[in-house]
Amino acid sequence: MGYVPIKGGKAAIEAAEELVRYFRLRGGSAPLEVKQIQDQMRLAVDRVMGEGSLYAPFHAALALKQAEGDTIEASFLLRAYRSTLPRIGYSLVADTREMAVIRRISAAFKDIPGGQILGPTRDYSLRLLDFQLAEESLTHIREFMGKFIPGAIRGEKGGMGDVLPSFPKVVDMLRAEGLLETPNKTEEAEEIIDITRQPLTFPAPRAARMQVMARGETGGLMALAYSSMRGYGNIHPTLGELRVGYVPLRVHHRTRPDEVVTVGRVLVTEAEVIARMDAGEDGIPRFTLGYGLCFGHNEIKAISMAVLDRTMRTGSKEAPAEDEEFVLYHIDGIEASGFTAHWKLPHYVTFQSVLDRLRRAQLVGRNEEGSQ
Amino acid sequence: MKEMWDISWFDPVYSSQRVFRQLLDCMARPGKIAELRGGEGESGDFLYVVALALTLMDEETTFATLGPGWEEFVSFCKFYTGSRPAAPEQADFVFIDGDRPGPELIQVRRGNLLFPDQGATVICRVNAIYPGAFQSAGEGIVLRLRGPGVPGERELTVAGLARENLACLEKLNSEFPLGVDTILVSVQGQLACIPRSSGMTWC
Amino acid sequence: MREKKVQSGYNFAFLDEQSKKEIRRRMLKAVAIPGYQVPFASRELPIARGWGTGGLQLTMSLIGPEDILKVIDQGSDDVVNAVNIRKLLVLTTGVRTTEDTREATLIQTRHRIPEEPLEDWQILVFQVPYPEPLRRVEPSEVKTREMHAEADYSRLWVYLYEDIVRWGEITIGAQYPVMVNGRYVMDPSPIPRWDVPRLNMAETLYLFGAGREKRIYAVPPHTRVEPLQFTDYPFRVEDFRCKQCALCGSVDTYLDEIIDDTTGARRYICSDTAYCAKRRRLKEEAGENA
Repeated sequence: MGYVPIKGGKAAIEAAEELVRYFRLRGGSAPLEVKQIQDQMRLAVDRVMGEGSLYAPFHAALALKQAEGDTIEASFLLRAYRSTLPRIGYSLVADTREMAVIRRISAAFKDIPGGQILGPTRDYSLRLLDFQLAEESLTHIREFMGKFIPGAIRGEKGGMGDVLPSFPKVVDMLRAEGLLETPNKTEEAEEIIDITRQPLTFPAPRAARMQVMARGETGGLMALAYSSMRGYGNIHPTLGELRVGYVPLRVHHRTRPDEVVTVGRVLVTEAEVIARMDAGEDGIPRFTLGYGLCFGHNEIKAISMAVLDRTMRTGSKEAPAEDEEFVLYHIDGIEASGFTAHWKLPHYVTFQSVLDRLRRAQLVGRNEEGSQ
Repeated sequence: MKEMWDISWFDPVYSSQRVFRQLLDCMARPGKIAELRGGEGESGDFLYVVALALTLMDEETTFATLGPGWEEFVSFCKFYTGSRPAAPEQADFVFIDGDRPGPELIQVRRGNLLFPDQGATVICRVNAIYPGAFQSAGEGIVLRLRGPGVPGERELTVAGLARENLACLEKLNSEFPLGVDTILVSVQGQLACIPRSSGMTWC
Repeated sequence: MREKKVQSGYNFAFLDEQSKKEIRRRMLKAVAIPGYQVPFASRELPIARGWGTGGLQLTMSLIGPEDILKVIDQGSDDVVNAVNIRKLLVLTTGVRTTEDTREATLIQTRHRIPEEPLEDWQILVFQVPYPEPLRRVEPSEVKTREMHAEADYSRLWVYLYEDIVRWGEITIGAQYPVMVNGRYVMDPSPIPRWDVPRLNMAETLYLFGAGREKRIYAVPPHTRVEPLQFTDYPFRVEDFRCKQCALCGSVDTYLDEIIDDTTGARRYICSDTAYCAKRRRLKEEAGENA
């Protein structure tokens, strides 16, 4: 009976899955080891852990392999995996003053207690393609490590020794001098909701805003934060402190609730931006603060978060970055990418329905023309 | 009667799925009666209330009990569901004995116009529930429900339900969409629901 | 006791029990307040946001080992997305599936209500892209929630009125806004107008899940569901007069328009492919018997 366009779904899906595998492998190179991705695609792994909302370096690396390097797809794989894991418990609040720091800078002060620690950064490298990397071999790696490691152990390589240092926070200094807003009491008293267990409603508590941003897509956060920095907003951030390092995670002992147990540590990036002054309840002007924290080493994301944290507390909704609904509803990479991709699904039924309306409207239009 | 603390009969995956489907069916068809009992004719003061608690409650929820006799049940819920006890006006789930007039019932959360779903769920333990108007020896109240889920009018008879409590529920639900949703559960395992959308008369 | 891990390592119906509990609690509230959108936390699934994760989470929280499942997209059981969703559900539950509407206890659908009448032992789960019917007139969730709270639907009525002034007709095709139980305006999901009257005073429970937008809502059976309309511009379903299905000859079903590859001729076939096949089978049997 001829053409039926929608049959054969199952076979088509299976064939597509085979093709995906083929396209990944057809170059004939050696298979990528997950360990290699975990080690050498460090920043991609960190990004996927953040956007995938699961601190699991191996799983993030595996997801990157499976997704052929597409970070949004890899984050999606990680999030879906996350849904199957039971919630065993909640950690205690981590204090980033305890962070074992690998990198720490302030743009506000030339000299800060403990000093500026550049750590692993490309910020000042010339962005020239390094063709030597194309020839990198195990011999090159051994040679480099042979030279680097002894120096690092002697503590010559800034913060790369056995024991990573921790430092006081720049904003604490400002706060001690009364230059910075004091923490909002009502915010501190709020019960911290878990946005993966309880629905997000507006106005959203700050903790919920932070959680949405911490899972947000780096590019999406950056675009909105950039819009504010560029002119759609009036925040004028100064980077008080940016730090990257390991914070310990602690929980109450399951059977001995008085006891606190350290169960591991996570690498995080933290940004604190000092923003324009505001008069507090006592009428005295003080600097305001924006805060960002995300899994792994992802400075653009932490800074963008901190800027958006501040813009969303502006009170006005004149610029997109100041409207919490606008920001929080549009930065999730998994949601945005899923919906953007869903237009590829068939819409025969709705299109037929719209077609019916268009034909009818054309008919009405022509009749009116005819009667004039 | 089974010991409350022995929940080996309740499978966390399959029993809660089955109980939930019965609840949903009854909530969608106010006044319709479902049988929770497994077949061998069990009954128990707390057996079916426990089944509802295990089906609906977890760490994310709070609950309150009104009146005496619920102390052990409170410990049970804390231990097995992780749900936290709260004052009646704050609790997500409120347990009450149908035959004991509970004036605190009037304080139960009704939600607000922005979030009417924050109105509480009242779980009301009664002696028995029968379909239709069935008044033997004057025991039991005949309830007549109207509204969404009911073709015309549905009647059911409930034994062990004080009129004061019904009046209280009616008052709580007088400003739709604000209100509470009630689950009637009998010690013999019958289940019926009165969502806030139901109009209710009784005699 | 039944084996819980149906497919390597995953819980029955994929979601963990806590997630199901939350969704179940929300479903009960949705049923108790017909047409009102209940917020929920919404889990990520191995299927992308916007591809039916809301409907899926409802189905996963509803489904039991005794259920007989049907999944359709655009009315068809064999469209890729329906196949994919069915695959995930079967993989994690092992339930029986069917294409026969009259046999299914649980039906998940995108964009259609099956043609055959549904009964009180069945549940229809809709996948919803946009749960908010007021979104076309107001982008802010805070404001639309206030409008629902106050039952203030004036801006939507103005929108419909302006549509008529401009085009001589209400131009909304699918996803036609309806009033539920005289209280809440609701988005019936992108079903064609053809299906809208079937929501009114039905035998079946209708559940709606929007995963990305994180909302659950419901129309219980025997509930008034009225399309928004003006007395002089009444609501009208799609016009298939003088058209019939090229496969089964049906003149009373929703039709898909097909343009023939070679001839370019326009033909129509039933959107509900299982019903179409059933009709053809019955016709053949009747022919053989005669």
